[in-house]
Amino acid sequence: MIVRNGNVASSFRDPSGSLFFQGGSIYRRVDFRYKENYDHSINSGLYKTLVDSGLLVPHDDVGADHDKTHGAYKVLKPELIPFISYPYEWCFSQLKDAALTTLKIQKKALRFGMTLKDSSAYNVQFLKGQPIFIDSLSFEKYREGQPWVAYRQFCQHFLAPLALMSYDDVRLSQLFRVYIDGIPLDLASSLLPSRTQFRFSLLSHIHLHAKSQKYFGDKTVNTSGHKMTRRGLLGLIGSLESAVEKLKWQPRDGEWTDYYESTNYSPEALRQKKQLVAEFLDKTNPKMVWDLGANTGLFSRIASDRGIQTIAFDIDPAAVEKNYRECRLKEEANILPLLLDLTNPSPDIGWQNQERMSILKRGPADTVLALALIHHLAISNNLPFEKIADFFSKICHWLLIEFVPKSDSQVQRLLSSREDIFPDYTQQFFESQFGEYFTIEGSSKIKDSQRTLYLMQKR
Amino acid sequence: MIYARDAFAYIDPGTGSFVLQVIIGALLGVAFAIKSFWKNVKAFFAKLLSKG
Repeated sequence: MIVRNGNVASSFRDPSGSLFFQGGSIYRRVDFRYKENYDHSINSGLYKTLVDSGLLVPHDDVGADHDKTHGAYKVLKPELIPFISYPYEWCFSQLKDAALTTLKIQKKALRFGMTLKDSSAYNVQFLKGQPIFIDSLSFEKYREGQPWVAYRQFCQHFLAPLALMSYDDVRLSQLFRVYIDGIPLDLASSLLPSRTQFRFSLLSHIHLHAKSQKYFGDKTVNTSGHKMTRRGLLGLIGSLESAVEKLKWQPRDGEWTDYYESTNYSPEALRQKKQLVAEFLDKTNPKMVWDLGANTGLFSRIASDRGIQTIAFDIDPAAVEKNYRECRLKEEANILPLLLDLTNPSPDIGWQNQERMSILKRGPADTVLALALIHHLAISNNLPFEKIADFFSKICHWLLIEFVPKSDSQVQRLLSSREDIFPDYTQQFFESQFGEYFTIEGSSKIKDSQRTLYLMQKR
Repeated sequence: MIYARDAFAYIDPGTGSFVLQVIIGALLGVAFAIKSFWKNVKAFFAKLLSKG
């Protein structure tokens, strides 16, 4: 991650405090106006309970003097999240787990006399394979009668996108890239099939919620007389929880299988390829690996099993889903599967295009794996080698890349439906073009195949 | 919005969301109470029977 000293651009909405970078570390400045709530979260035991149960990122209190420019009440140093990810990069189960984590925290907070004042999906990150809440300033004292101020945000950030992914199409998670404060409920309501109106939770929290927003949109209402009992609030949280739990997504038959079976490897070639990847990884000794086109993470795990932080990117929501479920099942701490279209990677979005970082800003990785990928970029997406090499040189120091020649049946398959306009798609030209950006440190032919694995270092 | 100000909330809960939430909360609160009541009744009889 590119880290510069100064304030974090996404940290401006909540006046309780703000985030800033200093000397490669991230700090949270707590403003005096948040003093009472902060003290309560610590003294009531809420902070400790949440940290002990792995729901909240732990922090060290480094003393208010740490921030000399602002009169801060406290300065906290939270544990660093190695890779920040966003809801439009998550698969269905990741968003669902983030939603349930948020509700679990809200229930615990109420037990300690506090409540969440926001429920943004961006407050959840993945650390050591688990969803975790990162904003320790999101809690405020709960007063009897007070409704949940973050109810609307929860429905927009979690319930609506999950319902759309479950009932309509899993790709609708991409609406997050347009709507930074979650999916507008009137949009969700119009896109969801009418049968969702027969489920009380979706009828109330999405359809009627959208209607109510529209009805009261231009009215001024004195809401001070409306109270909500604690029991009502607990009922509401319980209802949201069961609504989220009931939402499911299962890829269609066939999408789950044949990921590696349909590739061009004999068992011996696959074994050799794995061994080569392991050798190259040991040679480069990375701390952070990005596996591009990771599928369900077969090769990513060669890195993550060595204790290396590994981000397994794939364009296919079913592959990311399968990979994530495997991570949860095996309690893997070093691998994070994420959804990414390399031909249109996550951009900088939000206020001044600075709130959510592009993939480029979150790099470079020490090592990038680009296995069985080049033909998809060069042929399916008409990208010249030079442009691919240029992009890779921006996101890594070391590149482990597999060249798949035209004679390979996978390339032939891509060319079967279109004219071959790629006279330059040769191994020699590949080497010369990548040679402009990288030095080739090693290469090995993969047995029983026509493919070659290269290890390259950025110039 | 009195609670929002008192509680130092910085996001807008939205009037429509606010009103709907209070209504749903009232319904769910009643459901919650009935559920707890039945749970207690069941627990009472279970206890009675186990004693018997």
